[in-house]
Amino acid sequence: MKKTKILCLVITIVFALSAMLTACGTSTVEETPTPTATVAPTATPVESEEPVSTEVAKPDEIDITKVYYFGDSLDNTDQKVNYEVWMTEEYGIDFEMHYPARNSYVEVINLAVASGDLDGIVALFTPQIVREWKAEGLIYPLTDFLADNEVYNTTYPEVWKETYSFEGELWALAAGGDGVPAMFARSIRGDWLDTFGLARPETVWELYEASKMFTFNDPDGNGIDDTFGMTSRNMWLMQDIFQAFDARMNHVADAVPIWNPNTNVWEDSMIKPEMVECLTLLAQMASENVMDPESFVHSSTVAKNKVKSGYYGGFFYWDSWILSVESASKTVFPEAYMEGIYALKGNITTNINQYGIGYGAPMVMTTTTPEPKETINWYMNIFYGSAEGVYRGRYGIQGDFIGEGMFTLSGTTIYKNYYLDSEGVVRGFSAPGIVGGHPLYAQGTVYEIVYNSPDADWNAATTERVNSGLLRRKVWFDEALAWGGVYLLPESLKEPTSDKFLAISSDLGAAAKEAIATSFVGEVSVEEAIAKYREVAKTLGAQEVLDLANAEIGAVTGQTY
Amino acid sequence: MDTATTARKYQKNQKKILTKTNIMLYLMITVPLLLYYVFRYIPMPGVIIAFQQYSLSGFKYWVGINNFNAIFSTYFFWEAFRNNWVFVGFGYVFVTPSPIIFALLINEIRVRWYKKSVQTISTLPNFVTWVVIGGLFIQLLSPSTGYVNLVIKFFGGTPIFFMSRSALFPWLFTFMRIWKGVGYGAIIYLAALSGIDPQLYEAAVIDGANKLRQVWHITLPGIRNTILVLIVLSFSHVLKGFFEPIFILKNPMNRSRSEILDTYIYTIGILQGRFNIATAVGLFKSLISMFLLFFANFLSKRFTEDGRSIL
Repeated sequence: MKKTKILCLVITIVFALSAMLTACGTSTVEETPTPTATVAPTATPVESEEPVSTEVAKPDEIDITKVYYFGDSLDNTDQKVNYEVWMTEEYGIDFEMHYPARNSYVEVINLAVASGDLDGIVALFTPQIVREWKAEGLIYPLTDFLADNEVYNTTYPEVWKETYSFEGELWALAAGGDGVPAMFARSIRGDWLDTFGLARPETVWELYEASKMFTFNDPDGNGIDDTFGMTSRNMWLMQDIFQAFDARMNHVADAVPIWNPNTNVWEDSMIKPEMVECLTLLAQMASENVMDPESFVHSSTVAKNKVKSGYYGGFFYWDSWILSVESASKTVFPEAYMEGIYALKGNITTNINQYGIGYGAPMVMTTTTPEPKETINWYMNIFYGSAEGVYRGRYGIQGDFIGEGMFTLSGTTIYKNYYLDSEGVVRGFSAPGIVGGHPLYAQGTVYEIVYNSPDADWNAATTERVNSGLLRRKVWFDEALAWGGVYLLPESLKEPTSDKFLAISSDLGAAAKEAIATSFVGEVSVEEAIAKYREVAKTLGAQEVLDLANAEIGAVTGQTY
Repeated sequence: MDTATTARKYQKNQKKILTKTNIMLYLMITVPLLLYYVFRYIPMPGVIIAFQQYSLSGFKYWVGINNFNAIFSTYFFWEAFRNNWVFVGFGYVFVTPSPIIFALLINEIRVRWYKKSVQTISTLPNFVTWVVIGGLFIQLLSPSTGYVNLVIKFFGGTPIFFMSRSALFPWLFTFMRIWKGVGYGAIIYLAALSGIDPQLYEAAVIDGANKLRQVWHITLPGIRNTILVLIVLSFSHVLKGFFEPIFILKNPMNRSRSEILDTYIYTIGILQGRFNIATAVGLFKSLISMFLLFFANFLSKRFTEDGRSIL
């Protein structure tokens, strides 16, 4: 009995102590300081070596959390550290960079922000996440902080401001972009098409026929049955097939309610008859190995490697990959070249694939940032206030002489520096990528990029290859634009904005993905897969999402679950 | 020092909590106790999140049992719950007996070097992480480049995409668990087997018992207590230990049979930031585990020779 009493006492004390320690943690509800108007720090665009701020004091430190800072988290550690040190010395502000690995980025920042440990500027992925963080009160509105900032008012492009402004407030800075379309395009082995005398596919059915030839007719002529039509990674790398059927994926390839530009109605592609058609064809392609059946298992990197190494005829990915895959393939197969297809016709022949104008990732500032006004103003001045700043944020350490540092700026010419490794091979530096592109003023000034390595032949060949590649891409894109294959997706119509959508989008997307994946490999019939999806969507209340989204644009959906 | 003095000193020391002899032991146990307290007890009051609206920005308001209502009405939750119990069932039917059978087989090997080699080789997979094992099996079972399918194709068969067949998943996972753990799991049974009096076997041989009879009437009863204790102890953590392998092997095609409560908690809690729902699922899982612990305690009292309890 005595033993039991002692045990009870010990347990009680332990629980009481635990409760006290938990209660002593940081308060869950914090006051959000109201940003006060600020007097602009002076910053002289282009000419300035270093922005001068007389009105807003320097913050002690600027924390920046982003993915792909000099490569993924474990890449180029020396470049990562050197840049931090160099920036700290250059500006007299302690630059603290945080770079979680790409594949766990969302988890890491979610946990960090929930625990109150995420300070400073944070790169998010989509406007939807910005809205979620805004709704949670995790980030500052930036408008008032930057109200008197000269760089913000005179240099920072209006269109960048609009990108992440909601309800009249700026909630994130766009990391920046060159104003060129950001979109996916299908890469397909042009030399394999030539082998069979095939033209570049224009329809989804022509693509299927070409891919069958790639799979069954030995396009590389090595006498081994080792080639396949195309590969993918989830729905990401085969979105164009869905769109061609008018069973659209959204801008991040999720099968959640999406705005249809041809009908001006928000719709759920999963319950359209066109989706049944599309999935039936995909299942057939997977069963014939014309489409890689492992598409829902492997990573994007593996998918890329399968194309680069000459086993698969192509995929649908960022359009820049048409050329980089071509370059990689040429190292193994010198005759290899890629054709680019920006849209395939199918059930529809206009407004097929969406694109956006790339203004870069949303950079938000968390409410736990110690000196918010100082931080955001100096961030703005440093990275957007001068040409040096833009390219320091984009390419890294600046050198004073040509060939020094990661880049050298001379007038309006940017020398991107390369070096020879111990085997005499030209190597480049990775980049911090804090700034994604020139502000518009820089575009207006026209900065020329020069490839600068000790090997003059390499410099000339690279310049020629890049320029001709960009020209080819432009021709393909302009062609698709001309016949209406691609359309500019307005930011406001990227995804539904209702709270209901925020609440169920992950589950709904997962259910759709499962339906597509299981029917793709023949695990269940297409009809069974869609029926299961309908059930889940009904349980989640997806109808409300459709109805709310359509009500916002004055449309009515005929779809019911 | 005479015997009486030593005895007195011993009696005196017995009443002391700290003595010169045991102080080091107490110091050594302090660190694990501290760690246990910090990581197991301090977070425990956090279960109140299950009764709150709690998201990335923290506490919003109290919701009573609404979070539980939400999870119980979710299709994915019940799928994960079912899958958990399927893996538990497969575990007791196939995984638990396998080291016993393996130990019995090894015990019959008379060539010493061969016995040792088999034991060593079979133990090795236990020290390979699930990340590596998962990757290994995904590669081996690949429909295009996996060795298993190359063999199938060699004999004229059609390749099977094993990792996409959701109905196959529990079987594949069970096979992997056995492959990984059978050698290591057999060690304790082999130790128990070595304790059986060889004279019993000699007597059985004289009585004309064949190998199977010997196993049935001597070996198995000889290790009965060990088997029972291990099974009973395993009840308390039946729902644990699946996260890592499932996280690696799960894909959208087999998700309906591979999602378990732990991966579900990870998805909704960490990825989606719905900590309240994730905590509710976690608390529900903990309550089941607690019930099983008491059940294990009851069974322990009932089945162990001296009626020992584990609590």
